Amino acid sequence: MNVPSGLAGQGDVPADLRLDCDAVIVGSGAGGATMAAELAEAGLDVIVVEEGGYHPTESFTAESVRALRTLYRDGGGGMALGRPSVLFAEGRCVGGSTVVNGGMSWRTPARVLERWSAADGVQAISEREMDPYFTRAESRHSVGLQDPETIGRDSELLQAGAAAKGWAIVANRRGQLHCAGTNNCNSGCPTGAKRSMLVTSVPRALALGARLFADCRVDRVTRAGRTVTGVTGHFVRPGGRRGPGLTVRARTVIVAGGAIQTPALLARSGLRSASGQLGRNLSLHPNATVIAFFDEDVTGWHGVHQAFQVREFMAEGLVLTAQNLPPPTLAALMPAHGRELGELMADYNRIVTAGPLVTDTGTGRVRNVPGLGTQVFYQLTDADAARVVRGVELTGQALFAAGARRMLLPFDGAPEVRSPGQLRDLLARPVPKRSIQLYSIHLMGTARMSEDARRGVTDSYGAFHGVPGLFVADASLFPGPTGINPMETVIALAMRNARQLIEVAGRRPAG
Amino acid sequence: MHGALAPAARKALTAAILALDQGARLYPRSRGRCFTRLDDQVAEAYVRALLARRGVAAELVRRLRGLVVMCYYELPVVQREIGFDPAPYIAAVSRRRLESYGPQIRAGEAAVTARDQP
Repeated sequence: MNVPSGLAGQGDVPADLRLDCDAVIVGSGAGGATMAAELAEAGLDVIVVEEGGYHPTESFTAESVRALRTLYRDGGGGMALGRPSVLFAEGRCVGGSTVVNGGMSWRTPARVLERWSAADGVQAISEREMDPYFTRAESRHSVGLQDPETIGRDSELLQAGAAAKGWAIVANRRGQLHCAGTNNCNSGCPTGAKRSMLVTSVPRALALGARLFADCRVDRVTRAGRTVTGVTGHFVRPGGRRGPGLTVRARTVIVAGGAIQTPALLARSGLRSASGQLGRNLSLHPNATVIAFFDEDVTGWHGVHQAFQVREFMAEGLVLTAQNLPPPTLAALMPAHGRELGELMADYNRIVTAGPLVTDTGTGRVRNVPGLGTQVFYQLTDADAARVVRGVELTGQALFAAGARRMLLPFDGAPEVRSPGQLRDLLARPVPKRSIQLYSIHLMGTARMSEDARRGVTDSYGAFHGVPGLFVADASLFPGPTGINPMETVIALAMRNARQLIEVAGRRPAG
Repeated sequence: MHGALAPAARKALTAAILALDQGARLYPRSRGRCFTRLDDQVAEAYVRALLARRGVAAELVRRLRGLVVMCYYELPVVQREIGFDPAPYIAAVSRRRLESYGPQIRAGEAAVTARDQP
């Protein structure tokens, strides 16, 4: 394996390490890696600590279970407990969730930025003020439309269905350098075309002098009085065995572990926010999947997933997309087992999987529970449940319009539906909330920004209220859901907040 | 895959496996046999009966089932049977990408570590 200079994994560290630097960053995903590159470029001595391992592009294959084991936290099986519980996935590897997401890159909608400014008290976040950061993020990550030859039949069918209904549909924007359309985004891009942090900001930061320690779990943020002094952690040996310790002393600590791990780390470090909002306000854009069977050969694993987004219902908080699932994931979703499951899976190449992404109004909570570790709780509201059901019905309508013969719905015990009328009649009856099968890959809001320390956890630039030197740099900062793929918002905010941090540090006396 | 799960999930699944296996002895059609000794029809009826229930036991069985089918459908021979064979496809489109856009790709990759223009 060709390991970049400046990157060390557990196998490179035989004994305890004690290091000093200007800024230590916990996490190497969209927020952490961007911060690292920005601060290193400004001349700061930066150390990044990443709990996951280093897995280069050459190691990525279509073995999805292997990817779940190596690139995801807890095998991709996170669970937000509630009725219904919501399955969620977090990346845990160098590059974080950007290694396993779809790479979709959209600016934060203007109305969301307006709400964050007006209702949540976040400064300097208007569309005009954010524009330079979005522009830079898009340039840095080659954000653009897919080359036409990479668009798969499953996406074309959703597009055809939406067009037949007269619905607005847009081509997806993605951070990609001439994506090959391998349909392997969620198991790591095997060509490196997807501009994840693994192939952009991480190598950039390393080239600019940053150091990165992989396979190293941060246990605590350390403090002297109220001021942060660094972090302590330990390397994780194969099999989960505890390895040598790591102590990093730094005047600036940036936590970028994502909306679950960031509040968990801060809480177990004894940090509290005056607002009481640390770990609260979790949004997760619940998703549900419709499994539609066509007569024609779809071969959904040929071509990039989510080439389009149906935007007709964005005002209702709904975006519809098609995303092919590999056989292991699809089989786990199927409401059947034994011979019946085998018969359904035999039609694998005639299946389109699609569904709604819902802008949620309910919120959840992240807590450290003694003996059980970090636990996530989330209660779907009645309004959001109704939105999920409507999103499922709309997805079904589009797929029937595209020629689907039958479909399976993401509701426990729901019968197979064979016509738009049957779909409409079925969903006209109440759908028990606890029967809805939901998952999430967009976790946000658990250390939200607000200039008002009684309302937020950090200020408008990610500085933790009342704890000098401590910053947050991931989707935890969002005061609410974006209603759209959040990666570009995370990157743009990290660029903006890094600039602020550099300017403030430049004004601070050395010492 | 089991080893990749969170510690609490691992413990719960281990308990679920034991409960599923030994709990079968209480199922009337099992005649006191554990799950691994049931014939296919009785085993399927037992699983269906469990899944038809609500509550923690059914939820654990559902998760266990999910894990088992994931591992089964990861087997290359099973994937080939349903027409999923991505490695040759990935190789072909990767080659096409380099042939079609090689210079742009190399320029884009070189830009990753270049300093921004002031």
